[in-house]
Amino acid sequence: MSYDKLPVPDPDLASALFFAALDAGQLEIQRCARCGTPHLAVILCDACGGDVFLAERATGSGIIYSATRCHTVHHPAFADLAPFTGGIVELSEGPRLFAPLIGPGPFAVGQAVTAEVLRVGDRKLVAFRRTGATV
Amino acid sequence: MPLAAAISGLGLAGLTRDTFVAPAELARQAVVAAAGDAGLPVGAIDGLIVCRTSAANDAVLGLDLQRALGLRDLRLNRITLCEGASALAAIQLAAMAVTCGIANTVACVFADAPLARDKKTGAAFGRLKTSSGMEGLRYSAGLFGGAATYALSAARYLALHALDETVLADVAITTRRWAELNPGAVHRKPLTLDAYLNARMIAEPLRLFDCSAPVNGSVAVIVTSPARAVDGAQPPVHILASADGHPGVPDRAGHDRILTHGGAIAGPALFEATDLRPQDIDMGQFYDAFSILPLLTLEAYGFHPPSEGRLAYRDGAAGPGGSGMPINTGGGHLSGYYLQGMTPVAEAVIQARGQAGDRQVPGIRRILVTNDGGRFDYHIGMILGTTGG
Repeated sequence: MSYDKLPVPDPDLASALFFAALDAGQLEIQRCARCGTPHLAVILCDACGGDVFLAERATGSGIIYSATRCHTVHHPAFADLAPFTGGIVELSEGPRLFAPLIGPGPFAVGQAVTAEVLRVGDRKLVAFRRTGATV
Repeated sequence: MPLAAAISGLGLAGLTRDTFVAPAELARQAVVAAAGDAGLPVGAIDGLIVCRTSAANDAVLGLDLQRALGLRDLRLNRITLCEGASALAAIQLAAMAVTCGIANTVACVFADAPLARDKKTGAAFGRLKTSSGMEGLRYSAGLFGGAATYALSAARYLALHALDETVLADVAITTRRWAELNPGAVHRKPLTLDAYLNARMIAEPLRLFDCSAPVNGSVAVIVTSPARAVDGAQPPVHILASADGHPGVPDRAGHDRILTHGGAIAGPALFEATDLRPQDIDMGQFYDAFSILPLLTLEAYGFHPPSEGRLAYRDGAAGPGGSGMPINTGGGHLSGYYLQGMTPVAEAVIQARGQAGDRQVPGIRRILVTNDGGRFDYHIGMILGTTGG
């Protein structure tokens, strides 16, 4: 299966550091320097109002917050993948993000998953695979 | 300050899957129909509030609707944008304007024509809305369209509460039973559990009939003062209260964004403003673009505890002749027609007036109408009544 045509978002102000780190192959969180709340993309900490963040390399482990196997194709990149699974992963550090769920399923709520950085053209994307599933 | 406003006119245009008419023209027709329904000349309108799907822009439907309607000297002309909650956002603003004397007779209109001549439904709703930031990652994950993101809510809901898809089937099947009685509904063929389960899967656990029935069409209402409405051509439908609830839940552990429904914010405000309780509501007209939505709405508003919204649908309780509160009596979005926030508004007005024909529920006094937008990001609720507050 090929993931090299998946759409990858452009960074915005809040997510600039996240995508810069990811494009360098690292999954990073931004931890509020004042209260410790973990974020992925942030300008102001919603918990304490802090605006200084410390980049921290994520372990890459997480659980599936939710997932759905999609049977309809709305974008050519997914034409050969359907049915494919997309979901929201909760990193062990706490933040959640949308991500493709790849490799053997099934992908159930609460399932442990591990990050895998995919190359998509000159960008990178983080996908997740069931923890322990063979590549 | 309590709202002092009522809906005095209702106009529908299009509501077809076969014909494409541009949304601006559908909107014009619906406003003309709403004024006529209210017994007013179009020129009596002194306020216009346009709402549209987030896919549309000014070229599709904009403020120049005023000129298309030949309206002069408007005292209010606005576009309200609140995703799927735009219709109630418009009506709420109209009610405030009327209450405050900014305008006297305000037309609120929504129009959409997703079924273009050569486009499939998926092409209309499955488009990429944003290609930047963390939200843009949903498209990297293949989650295009509302079905995919509401599927995430449905999947989590079923998993957390150890429920299966028959909970969603009950919503779809009960709602279809109402649609069977509505000549204007898209899907009127009885829906069996087998037919529900055998319909194609869209995004698990959502199947075809867990998703709304799109149409090209427009709905407009006229909002005016209770005194003017009482003198109108139709029984007035009073706006007893309106409240927003936009949760803004963070995307991290300890929060449950995709199951946090704004009704938990709007509900207490509505009930306090009206001195009513959930058990005083005679009917629900809930936003049901996907079958999971009415369940979460029932729970957020306190009709049922978390995980028990399904009890409203058990044994067809919410359906025709059922033992519980009737819900989405026109067939909702699921089987009726998907004109976003205006679908529940239109059916509420029809029922409150006693004009629902075979599906009329007797003795309706108070109706809770809800609108949802985004991924449970935007919510507005409104209580409509057959008599003033």
